[in-house]
Amino acid sequence: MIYALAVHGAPYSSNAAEHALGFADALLARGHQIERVFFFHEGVYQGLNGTVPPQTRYNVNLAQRWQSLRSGGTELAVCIASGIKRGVVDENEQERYDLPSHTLSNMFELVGLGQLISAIAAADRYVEFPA
Amino acid sequence: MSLHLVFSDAGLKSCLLRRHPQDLVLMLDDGVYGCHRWHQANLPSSMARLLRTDAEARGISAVQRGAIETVDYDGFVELTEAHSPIISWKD
Amino acid sequence: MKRYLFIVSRPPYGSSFAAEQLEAALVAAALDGDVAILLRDDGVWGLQHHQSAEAIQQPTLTKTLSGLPTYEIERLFVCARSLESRGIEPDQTLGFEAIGYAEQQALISSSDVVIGGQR
Repeated sequence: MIYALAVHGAPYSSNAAEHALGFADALLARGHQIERVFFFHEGVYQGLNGTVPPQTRYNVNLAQRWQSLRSGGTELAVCIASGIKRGVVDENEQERYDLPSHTLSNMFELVGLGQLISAIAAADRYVEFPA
Repeated sequence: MSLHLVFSDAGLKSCLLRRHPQDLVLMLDDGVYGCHRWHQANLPSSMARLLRTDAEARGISAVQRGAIETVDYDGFVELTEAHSPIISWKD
Repeated sequence: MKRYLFIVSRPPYGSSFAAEQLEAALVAAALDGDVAILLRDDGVWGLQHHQSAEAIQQPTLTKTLSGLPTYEIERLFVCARSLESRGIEPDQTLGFEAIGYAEQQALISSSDVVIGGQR
């Protein structure tokens, strides 16, 4: 089956990422495909390029886990409208808005809301992980 | 049938008002505290599941869990294979 | 073409959730089709009369809501009990139909995709 996933929570402040990652790994292990993981609302903070796991959770590195999902071919898409207003910007947006630096990790891409809908349209299942 | 993913006790409350009696409910994250509400409402244990790691983390005891079965992520995926649509509740 | 249901459970101005959720609904209607919206719990405050969010430099939600039929989103629902328990007389011009729990249950079951309903 083909799945579309959405993540609405920020790293280390909700468990949305942990649940989405645990679910995604199990999906792939069962032979399913992930059309796209879409980061919406406060989930866009997952795409920041400088997150450091808190010391109390030294063994959980979400950025590394997203990286390994990305390396396996899963598309990680950050909502551009939700993202740029929260300072999650790629080089294009940095230039467009004349910002001091870009902040989006290179594992992720900034896309429009249309990419959420097209992922859902292409998928058999849509699963949402709230903040 | 639908699958309800319940992420908080408040979410369970909202879900129960709008759920078909044949719909399965998976409680995860803070939703695992909802097993108390589930039993109080005399709902059949067979229609609920708990995500094992989340229940364990929060100290949900065998008594609190009752006859509600737990699942791991593999079991979570299996539930989503068999049900549609999938609705998340956190309120 | 899928049948989408967008649920809004949060009030209009305290967070960006309701506005962002409606934006997604508009995109779904434009791209893929059949969209319904359900306001429940504090989401029903969106139907309150006399909103003017210009006072806090935000767009007024009722303006977005009144534009939904232009985007061919015509299945608009609100939880009757949520309205009642908050003492809200909804703005009828917005065209939301107040429905009970059983109808909400049927609405969910008959959807292919349900989006939202959370913090």
